Amino acid sequence: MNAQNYSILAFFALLFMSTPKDVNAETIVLDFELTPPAGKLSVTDVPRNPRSFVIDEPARFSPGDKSDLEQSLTKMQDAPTYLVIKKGKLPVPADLYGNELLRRWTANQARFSALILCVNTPLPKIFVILAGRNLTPATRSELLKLGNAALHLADDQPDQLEALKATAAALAPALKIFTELYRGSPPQPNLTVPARNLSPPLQAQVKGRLYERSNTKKTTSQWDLLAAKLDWNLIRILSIITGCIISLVIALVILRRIRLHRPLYFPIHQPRHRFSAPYAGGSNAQIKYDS
Amino acid sequence: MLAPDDVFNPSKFHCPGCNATLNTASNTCPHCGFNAHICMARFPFKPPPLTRMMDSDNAIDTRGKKRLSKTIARLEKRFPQITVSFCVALLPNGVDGRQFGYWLLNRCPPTSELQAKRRLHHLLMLVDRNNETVSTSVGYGLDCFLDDVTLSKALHEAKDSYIRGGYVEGSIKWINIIRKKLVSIHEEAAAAYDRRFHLRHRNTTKETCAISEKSRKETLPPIKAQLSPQQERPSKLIATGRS
Repeated sequence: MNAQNYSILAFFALLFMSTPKDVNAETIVLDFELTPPAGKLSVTDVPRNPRSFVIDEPARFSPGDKSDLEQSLTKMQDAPTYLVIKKGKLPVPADLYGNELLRRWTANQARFSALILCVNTPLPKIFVILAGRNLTPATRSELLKLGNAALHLADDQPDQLEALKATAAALAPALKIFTELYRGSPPQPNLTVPARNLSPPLQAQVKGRLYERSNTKKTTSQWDLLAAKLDWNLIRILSIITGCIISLVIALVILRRIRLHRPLYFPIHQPRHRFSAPYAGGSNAQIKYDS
Repeated sequence: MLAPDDVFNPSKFHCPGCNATLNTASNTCPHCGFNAHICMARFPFKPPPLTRMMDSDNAIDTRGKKRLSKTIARLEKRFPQITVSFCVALLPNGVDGRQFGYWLLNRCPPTSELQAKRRLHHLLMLVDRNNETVSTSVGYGLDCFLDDVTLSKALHEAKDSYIRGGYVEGSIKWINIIRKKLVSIHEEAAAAYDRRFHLRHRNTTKETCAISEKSRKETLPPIKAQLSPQQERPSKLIATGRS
């Protein structure tokens, strides 16, 4: 049995191992023909050409691990698989982000591409995003199962880095084999079937997100573009500070107003009785108002 | 606890009879022999009740009364101790407004114990339409703070308004001036009270008050008791200027 056969076995093993994913992982399948480009979405610290197949923003991988992974992923040029560890929260939803990255990075001749995206937030989440062109529902379903199977491998790993490595190492050759198998049967762009028409057992296996033709008009709105550029944490902090200052000023104004209008009482003193009068001693304050 | 009267640097006062400046309080003016009994004899009428607006001739229109009342209410709200009366009368020739004000303040019977106490902080403003004069009088409780100089200054400041807008406008202006001045006067009084009385005289207050009370009792008996029943006549006569 040669190496090619082992790969095929690995592929089918992966395919049949597809099980429901854990809550912190998700598989997304994208069709470049149906999912519109994000336009000028400046998610966009995203380079037009990736420096490498492994982009590790928080630098969690050791140089050795990174280069090993890089080497194994570089071999899969026909169906490139990228591993991106993003520092902080994603500026847009993962599907938009993945769409933007894969759309930019996937060469025209590549039929499929994959991205393993890890969002390095306090609650880390792993996304396996698989993308292709003119995907039939069957192909989408297969890709989805492939992604889920890759994620399943991560469950057995002791930590997240190992899980990412295992996922990437399994997904890259599996996607390559998938691409080679797919070449055997020509693409059928006009025969797409909505996911709801899939057989019930297959539907039950589909746990990830499946893009249907009717739902493919999802575009990046101007709001998404703006939201991507805004630093919401800073805005929230500034809003709180501004609110506090305004409240303080209002409170001071109210206190000042209360103080200025509070009733005043003169001290009571011994009256200076004079001219035997009980209440008042008289005064000489008088003017004549005749002009 | 009452503060002694010298805590607030009381200014000199004047005799309502001869307007002479006096340094010490006495039962009779050393210059003209004026006292409350002589004054009562000059106005042998039954006084009208002391209310906020005293206008027996209806010389002020409703709008003017409303405006005056609102201005007075504003002052009374800021200084709840003080009650203000605005009186318009047609006094006969030769009758001095200041003496008449003095008579009104002392002669009008308070209806209750509380009103009698409040009378000490009463501010009376009297407009004599016949002689075209405005005079003001205050009770003993205020004369340490609103002395004759302050009252006269305020009247002179409001004189333009009196001449241009009439006595209603002028009086509104005067009351507003006094209200503003009273704020700073109150501040000074409170500071003086804290500085001189509250700290220094705390222990001697009772003694001082007892002496003052004793001296007060030695003054002449209440004025009302001195008046004979024949002297009481309706106040309308005064208001209309007829004898």
